[in-house]
Amino acid sequence: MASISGRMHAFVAGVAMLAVMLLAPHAAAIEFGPDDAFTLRGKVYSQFTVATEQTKSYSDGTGLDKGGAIPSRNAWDMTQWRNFMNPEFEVDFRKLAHPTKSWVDELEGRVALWGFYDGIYDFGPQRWSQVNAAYNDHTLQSVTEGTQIELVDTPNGKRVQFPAGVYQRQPRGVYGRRIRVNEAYVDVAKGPVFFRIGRQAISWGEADTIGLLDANNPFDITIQPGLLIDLDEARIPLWTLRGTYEMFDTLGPFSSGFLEAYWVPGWLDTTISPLVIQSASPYSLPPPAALGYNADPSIAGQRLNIFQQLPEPSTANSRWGVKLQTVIARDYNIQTWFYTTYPIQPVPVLYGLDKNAQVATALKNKLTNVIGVASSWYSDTVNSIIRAEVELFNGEPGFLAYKNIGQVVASGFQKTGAYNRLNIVRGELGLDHNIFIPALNPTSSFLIISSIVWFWNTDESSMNDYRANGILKPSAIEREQKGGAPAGSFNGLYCDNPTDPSIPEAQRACDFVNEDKFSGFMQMTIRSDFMHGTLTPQLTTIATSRGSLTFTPSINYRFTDNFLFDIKYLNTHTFGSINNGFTIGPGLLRDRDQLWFRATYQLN
Amino acid sequence: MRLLSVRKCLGIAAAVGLTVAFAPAARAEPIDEVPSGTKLNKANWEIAKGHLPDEILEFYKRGDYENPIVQKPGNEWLVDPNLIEASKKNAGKFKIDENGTVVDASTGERPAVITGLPFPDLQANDPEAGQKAIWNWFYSLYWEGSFHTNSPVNWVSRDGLLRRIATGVHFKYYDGNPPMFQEKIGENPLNILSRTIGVVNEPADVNGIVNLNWRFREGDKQDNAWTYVPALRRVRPINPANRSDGLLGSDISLDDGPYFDGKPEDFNFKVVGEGKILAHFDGPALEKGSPVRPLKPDEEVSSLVTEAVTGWRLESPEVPLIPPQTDGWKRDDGNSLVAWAPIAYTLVPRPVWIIEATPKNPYYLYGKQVLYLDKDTFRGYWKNKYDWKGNALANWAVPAMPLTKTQTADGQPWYMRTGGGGNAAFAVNYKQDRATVTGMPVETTDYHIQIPDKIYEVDRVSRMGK
Repeated sequence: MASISGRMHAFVAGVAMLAVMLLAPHAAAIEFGPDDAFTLRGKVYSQFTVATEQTKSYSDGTGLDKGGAIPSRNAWDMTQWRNFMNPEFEVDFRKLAHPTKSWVDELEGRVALWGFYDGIYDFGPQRWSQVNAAYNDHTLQSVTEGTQIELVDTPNGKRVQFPAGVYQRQPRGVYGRRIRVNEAYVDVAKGPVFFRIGRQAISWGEADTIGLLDANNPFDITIQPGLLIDLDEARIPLWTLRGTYEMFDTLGPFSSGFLEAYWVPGWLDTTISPLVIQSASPYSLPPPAALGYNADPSIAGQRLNIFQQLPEPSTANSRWGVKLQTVIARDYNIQTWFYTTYPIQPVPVLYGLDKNAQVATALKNKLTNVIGVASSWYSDTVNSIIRAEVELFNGEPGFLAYKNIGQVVASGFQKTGAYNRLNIVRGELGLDHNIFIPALNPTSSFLIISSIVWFWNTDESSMNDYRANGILKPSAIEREQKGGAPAGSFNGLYCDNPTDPSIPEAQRACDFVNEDKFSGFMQMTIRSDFMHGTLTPQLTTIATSRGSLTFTPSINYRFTDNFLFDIKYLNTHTFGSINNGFTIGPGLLRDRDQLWFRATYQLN
Repeated sequence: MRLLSVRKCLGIAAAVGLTVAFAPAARAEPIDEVPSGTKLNKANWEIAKGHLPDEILEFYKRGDYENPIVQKPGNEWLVDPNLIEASKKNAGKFKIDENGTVVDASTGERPAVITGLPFPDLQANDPEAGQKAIWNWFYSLYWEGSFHTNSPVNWVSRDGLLRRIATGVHFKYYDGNPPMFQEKIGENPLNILSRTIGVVNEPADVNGIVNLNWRFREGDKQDNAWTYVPALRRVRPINPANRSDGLLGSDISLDDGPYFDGKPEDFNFKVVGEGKILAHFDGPALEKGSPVRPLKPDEEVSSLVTEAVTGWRLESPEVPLIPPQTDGWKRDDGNSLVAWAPIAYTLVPRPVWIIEATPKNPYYLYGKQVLYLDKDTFRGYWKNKYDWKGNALANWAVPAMPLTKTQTADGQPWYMRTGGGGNAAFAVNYKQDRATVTGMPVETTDYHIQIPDKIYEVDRVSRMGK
């Protein structure tokens, strides 16, 4: 499609939003069937997003690919025209078959679709349609379905052999459009027993802006959840058998005790987040795909090929969990649980060279155990709800630059990388407080939700200096882009053990972002309702221990119950050197400031 | 005038005697002389001076409101004789302790159950009259029993309806029920006073919000409250002290509820006067009665209460409740009623205690609330709410309803206060010039139903979530 100017982008999107606004403004949910047993409702939205700053070259790439420019975002470029739909259909089966009314207390079903179309490749800046075409031409990404990837002997030395089933990921298929049955389940309840069977979302633990402690379900990380996309929209439900058993009403100081358990059969569902594709979208995370394209293709190991190794569909890869929850002394809500999950972020492991002499890096996903305990209660002293949670992520794959990558290079690509499995403790201490400021809002309180989220890598030591999931330092990427050594070249023993005195001075550098033994961030959201509940402004602030600061002010206006409009701005800044603040989390978005305009239509 | 028979005279005297037990003889006032059926409006608003909160009177003065005044002398049409009988036995049995809790006068402990009004012989010169009146209000409320209703909440501006949410609510009271219902409550090891669970069904962005509240009998124990947040897919505890906050930006707060739902121990109450108020009644119920009917034992109440076991159901007729629901609402001469005018109300002069409530919590939104409690029934009218500087901010009016005579399953006479179609409640925000109206459209209400404790368990909240 021919290039469309920025003004035209805004016009087209505005027309779409107007169409959404005018769609049956008085439409109501559709109820039909015996006793209105069926209900149809849902929402659609059209969202137009613009960048408000230019991306940096180390983030989005300004390298060359056979003479063409690899995309970067300019300020006021369209970055998204996302059109999302989420229809829901519910049925109360008991109203359909009256004889069953007495058999069960509850027999209901729900189906919800989830789908979006983003016009970035069709209506956005031309460079994105070029990217989409470029990815169609090059084997830049590939995926295997769970089976082993091997190094095999070839006349050119050991090479990575991909099994059958490897396929190309297309940017449009990840960032351009997707649709799925998001939820499809049946609820059955009788007395103290409840089952929910089917595709569903489960959320234990405490999560506010960024889902880190909330890991029962995978999150779609192709767009940063909680910041650049609503948390619930990023959540990926799973095909699950879930049951709850009410154990007791009161038992000494305990009350309202229940047991919950679930099982996600691995032979049925091993879904994890779709692969993040470098430079394929305005939302692709660094490093840029251009990395390595400057390299001389005749030199082995200079170009990068990333593939996602999906968990094999098998019972052994089932996710499951069990939770016990109760109220103690009528005041303290207590939960404790065990579940298995795939970490939200996969860990990169270098496998070697593929048949085209490209460096083949796998993103590994391994089941991890999560043991947690949480409590929440109301405190008279601070007139607030206090939330506390601690979770141990046992067996989470970790990234040591030399072990995962460096030793492969050092061997001349004759052996594969490896990774350690770690014990990481994550926790949150939160406070929810309401305060009246009549001078600002005479009728509604300001709700302040604040928390400190912290991490402790118990396996981090001077001899095991873990890095942040293989994220390359901006300084290393800039070095390569200026004609210096390829980013990632400094992947030697120093990365894993900086205190080793035997390492020569010339090798005392590491291209990978460090991870602290202890780290964390603070976040605060403040919101209130104005104008009779039609106007809801909100401000979220996140400050990380690694030196990034994020502000996301937003305003939601309700024209009618069917039509809502909101504007949201994201601004992230880091302090200090170019490498400071650049790590997993909001710091990676420090050059991705944006402004979105969203019109939502609800079928109520 | 025909002479009445001696027997009739004695009967009337007995009824009057019962009435006198609850209220001192009221002097006739000019408002009592207003002919029944007179419309109170812009032309004659002055007749209501002193009989309405000043801010409400302004609505009549401006022509925003217009309602008929009906004379209903006596109180046999309003006062439940079963409640009177139960309350008589409580005279002198209870007192108010230092926390403001109602306790047994001899033991100083809160009794497990109080049946009837705890203070049937309230005296104006009692320094604790305010606190006692509030406990009478609550026990008059508990006497109505556990109930379920679907209660839409409407945001209304001068231009009409702005938005609406649909909610379904189950209230269960663990104290104060009539004996035949109280005995079905069973054990109460958590010392619960009341429990409420509310589910929001519409619109889509708030669909699935579930609120659960437990109130305890101890005066110094805060409520427990939880909410299911669909955006997070989980249950979170919420601040139980934040009960003066507007619900989702509306003009109704949790402490408004059925008229006043604050924890009595969290307030200081003082009787600041007595008087006669033009009480707002469900007009259609006054005129035509209430079509309440007994529930069949296996009749389903809701998806949570699949069998009523006991109870009555009210399916009110649909009548216009606010002017936008009528033809020709907007008059060309500019003399339209305001969009939230409670057009289905009928005003009846009633004797009241005037009670001032001040919160002990300095962070409460309202510095003062003025309650008008009926001297006979202790139901409330036109609750005015003020800021900490004494400026009137808002008013909350829950329609009063006349007595409906029905019968129990075994044929015994039974009395209930149920509506006839005009039972919408109005929260008016004076400063913001807007209102929130609940119960519009009027939905089915089920009274004195047996609500299982199970539906108030914490896991039920997440079970109800999506």
